[in-house]
Amino acid sequence: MSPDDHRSDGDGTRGRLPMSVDAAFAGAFFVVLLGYLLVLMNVARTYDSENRLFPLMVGIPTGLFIVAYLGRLWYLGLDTDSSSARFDDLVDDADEEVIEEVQEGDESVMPRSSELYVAGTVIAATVGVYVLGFAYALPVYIFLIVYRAKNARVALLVTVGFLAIAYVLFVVLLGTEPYRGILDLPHPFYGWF
Amino acid sequence: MFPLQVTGVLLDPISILILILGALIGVFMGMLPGLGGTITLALLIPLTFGMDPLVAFMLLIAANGGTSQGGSVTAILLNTPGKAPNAATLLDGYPLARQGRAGEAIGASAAASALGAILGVGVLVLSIPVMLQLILLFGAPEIFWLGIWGLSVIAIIVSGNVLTGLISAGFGLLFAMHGVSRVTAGTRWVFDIPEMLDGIPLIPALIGLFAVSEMIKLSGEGGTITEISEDTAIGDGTLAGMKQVLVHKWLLVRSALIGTFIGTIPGVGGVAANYIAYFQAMQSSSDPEEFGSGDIRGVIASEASNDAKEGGSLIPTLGFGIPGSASMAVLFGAFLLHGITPGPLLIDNHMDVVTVIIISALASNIISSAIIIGLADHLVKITRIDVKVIAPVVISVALMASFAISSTFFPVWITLAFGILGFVMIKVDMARVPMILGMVLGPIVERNFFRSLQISGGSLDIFFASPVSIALIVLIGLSFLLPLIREHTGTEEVISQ
Repeated sequence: MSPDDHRSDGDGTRGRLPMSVDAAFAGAFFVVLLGYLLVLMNVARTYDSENRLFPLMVGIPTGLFIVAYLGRLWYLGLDTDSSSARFDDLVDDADEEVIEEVQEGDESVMPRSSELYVAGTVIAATVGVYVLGFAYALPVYIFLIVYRAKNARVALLVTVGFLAIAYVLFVVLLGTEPYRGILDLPHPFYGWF
Repeated sequence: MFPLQVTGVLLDPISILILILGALIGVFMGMLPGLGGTITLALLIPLTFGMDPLVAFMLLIAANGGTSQGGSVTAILLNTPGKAPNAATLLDGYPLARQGRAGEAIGASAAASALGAILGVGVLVLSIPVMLQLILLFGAPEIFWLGIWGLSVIAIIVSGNVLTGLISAGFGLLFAMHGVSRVTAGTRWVFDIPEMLDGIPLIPALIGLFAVSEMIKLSGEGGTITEISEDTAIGDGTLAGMKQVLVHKWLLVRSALIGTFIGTIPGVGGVAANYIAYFQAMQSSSDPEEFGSGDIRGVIASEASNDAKEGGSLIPTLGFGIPGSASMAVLFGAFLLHGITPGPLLIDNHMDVVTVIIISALASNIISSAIIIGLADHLVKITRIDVKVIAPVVISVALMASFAISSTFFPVWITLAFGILGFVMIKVDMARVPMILGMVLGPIVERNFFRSLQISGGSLDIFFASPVSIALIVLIGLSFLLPLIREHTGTEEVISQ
């Protein structure tokens, strides 16, 4: 269980937020999907008949499904009674203490602050790679994440281990040159293959 | 059935090493929660880019087979399945371990897994001549309906919610249409991004949807497996456990057949196969009250079914181009990467690949069983690794793998975007497999749709002309009824007993 999950009520539901917040999050996501779909359909209208046929065949039913889901969400709230959720509940009853630990999908729909933090670090790492290149950005990313979770010694070990594995796997075996970033900084890894 | 070039590849010592390496990787990944067969394949596929296709599939299938067995070790020793299909194994596996009979449980699990896999692959081999006859019935309209059926089955059955599953599949099809159409030669939804002319790259999207999103989720949860369970050494008894499998040979055969059958039904496999086999073992025994407190028969039934399921899932995957499981859907990405079109013509056009897949599935389970029996005591230490240490490494490998496919940075952005999308999809209980399947099947479905219209001169009657088309349309309709059937019968009743 996440150490910062102070919302746990101890009966295995692990940090469930109020349904209204979870439903709002889910609703917002599907509204974004619907918006993207409308953009696609609007652009597809400008294509010739052959090019827009299949997009419209797929896009219109998909849009209807989204509207139906949003309507259901508005009327009934989040679906906690889906067939797989019921199946999951029955599995939980069989071994409540353990099975729930490995169920795919958190019971709390709204991302926790820890999950948002991790997502943010992944975005930052990718931007870092784009600017600085793999050889600089990824070691820094790994070191900082592991340092925060463990300590400097473990962080250094993991970072060096990753560099060694990445070099053997991607540079030696696959023969690819790691991306150098838009700054194209010099690095000892470059030119070793 | 065994072309000469396949024999040459299989007998090459390097190929055997590849099989062992794949099985080792699979066992390692299978022991870590959240890193099952799907993510293992997603990360390995881009690394096979430069390989001979036959060797690539040996590695991938071996790794996929290994993950299943790796999950059984954590289920037995630590009361925590590495992946959900091993969930039933711990019901009796862990109690056995607590009684000091972990070795017996491991031995039974390894032997049942290997023999179950052999039975499952055997059924697959026997079904190939039937499939070779069936594929003759498939023309362009039939392949179109087959793709639609595959999407509807996966979207409706595998997802927790029918609507979200269909939405996921719809967006998969839409994502597949971005870029220059290979059917109409028109440019769609490029948004003035030159890299988008080739469309949204499948493998980076796959890596993001399955690997990156899972790592974000796991990192947010944190911890290790052994924070919640005590470590238990194996000790002696593995040979005794293996002998128990032979003592209960008919239970093994029944469970393997159940797993194989369930594996052939797209989207149903996994946990269902595991539990249904377990409960049939319990119901058919004279002392069902022994189950759940350390009965070796529970381990045998669940593990035989779990690994036989993999052979069963290859039947619709290889025969009809409909993935029998989530990992098979990911494997489709490997087919496309190596220039192989999944579908009913796969067996006819690429018998060498099919043969390698079958042999690799067989061999990897035997090799994985040997690894488990020999190294489980040491391998289990892997589970002490904090997910917050694993996750940044996996994410970094994922980003580098995405770049390695084409040595351009655009796929890395795609991996990031789909990673965030996949994470949100997990949070709102929206299945990701239909989306990937839509991206794989989209071009196939569209191509055969337009080909059918060309053949018929623009008439839609061609889609309703053949008995196979009508049968597939009926199956599509039945797919929409399956959630209702599942709701009121079968699985629910079995589990509740």
